[in-house]
Amino acid sequence: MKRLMILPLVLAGLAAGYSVRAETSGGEVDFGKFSAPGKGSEFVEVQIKSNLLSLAAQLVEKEEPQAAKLLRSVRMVRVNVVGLTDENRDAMEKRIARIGRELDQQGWERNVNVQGKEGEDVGVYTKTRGGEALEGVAITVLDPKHLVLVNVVGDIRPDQIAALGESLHIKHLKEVGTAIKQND
Amino acid sequence: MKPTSTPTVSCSSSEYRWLGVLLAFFFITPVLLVLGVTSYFRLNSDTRALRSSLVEASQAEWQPQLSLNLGSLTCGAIRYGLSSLPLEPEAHAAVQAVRRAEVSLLRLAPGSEPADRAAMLEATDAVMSRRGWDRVVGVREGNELVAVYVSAKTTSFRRMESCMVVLTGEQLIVASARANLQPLLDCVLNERGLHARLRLPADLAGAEGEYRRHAQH
Repeated sequence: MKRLMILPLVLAGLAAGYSVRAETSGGEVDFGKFSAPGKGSEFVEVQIKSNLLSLAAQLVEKEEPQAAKLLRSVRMVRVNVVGLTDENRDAMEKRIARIGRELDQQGWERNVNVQGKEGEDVGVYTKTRGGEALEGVAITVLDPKHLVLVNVVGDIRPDQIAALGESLHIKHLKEVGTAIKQND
Repeated sequence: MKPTSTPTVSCSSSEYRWLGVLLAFFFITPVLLVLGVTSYFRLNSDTRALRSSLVEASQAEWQPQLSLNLGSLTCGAIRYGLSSLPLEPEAHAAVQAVRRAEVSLLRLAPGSEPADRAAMLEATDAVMSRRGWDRVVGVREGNELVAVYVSAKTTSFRRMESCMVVLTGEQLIVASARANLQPLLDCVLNERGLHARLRLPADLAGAEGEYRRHAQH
C-alpha cells in the first residue's frame, strides 16, 4: 500500500524536475522588454524556433550540408533591432552595458570586442557546455542608428560556425567561429 | 341488404420511408445552405481569438468592416477553375499553394485611441502561445504594428499555417492562411535548375505535383 502511495509522488517529482529543466535554457538571454520607440524609430523582433529551422535545413541540406548541420543544431534564433533616437539612446546604451554585466555574472565569455571608428560597439558572448559545444551565442551591436541584439540557442560546435563561414564566404562568420574556438 | 364496405387507403412501409427522406431533404437542405453561406463570414477559432485578444488589449472600440473566410472547398474550386487559364508559372504556383485563407478588417471608432502597441503585442502573444502559435516576426514603428504568427506544429512545407496582424493608425487587419508551399518551392527551384542537382527528398521533389503539369504547357 505504501509503495502505491509513494509511486505517484515519485512520478510527480520527476515530472516537476523535468519541467524545470525544460523551461530553463542556459543559452537563452533575456534582453528585457522594449518600450514603444519614439517617433521616427522602429523596433523589430524576429524569433525562429527549431521547427522552422529544421525546414530551412531541409532546403539547404544537399547544397550546403555544413549549413544544414548547423541549422539542425540550433534550437532558437532571436534578433531584436531597435532604432535609436535622441530620446532612447542613453537608455539603450545603459541597457547594453547592463546586458554585458549580467552575461558576465551568468558565466558567459566575451570572445569578441570591437570598437569601431564611428562609434560602433560589437560584442560576441558565448556560453559553453561541457567544454565542447556552445549552449548559446549572444551578439550585441550598437551603432549610431541601431541597437541589434542576437541570441542563438542550441548545441553548436565552434568548428561548424567557422566551416559555415568558409563555405558561404562570410569572413566575419569565419572569424567569429575561429575566435570562439581559440578561446575554448 | 348487402353491407357497404368502406374504402381503405393503405401505404406500404417503403412509401413512408421515401416520404421521410423527402421531408428531411426539404428541411435539411435550407439549413445546410444557410450554414454554407454563413461560413464565408465566420472566422476559425484561432483567428477569432487573435482578433479578440487584440481588440481587448487595445482598450478601444472597433467597428467591424469585413470578415471573409475561404475554406478548403472554396480554395479547391478556385484552384480547379484557374488551372486551365494561361497564367504565368509563378502565378499558378501561388494559386496551387493556398489551401485556406481568411481576413478580418476593423476600423477604429471615432474618438477611440488604442493602447500601447507593446502591451497589445504582449497580451496577444500570451493568448496565441496558449493556442500553440509562436510569434515569428514583430515590427513596431510609430503607431503601426505588424506581427506574424506560425503554428508551432509546422514541421513540413506541405502544411504551413500562419496568422498575420497589421495595425495602422485606424485600421486593424487580421489574416490567416494555410498553404502547401511545395508548388512554390518547385517553381523557385525549377527556375534555378536546382532540382536535378539537389536530388531533393520525396517530400520536396513533388514529381507528381500539379504544378509540373502546368509548367510543361
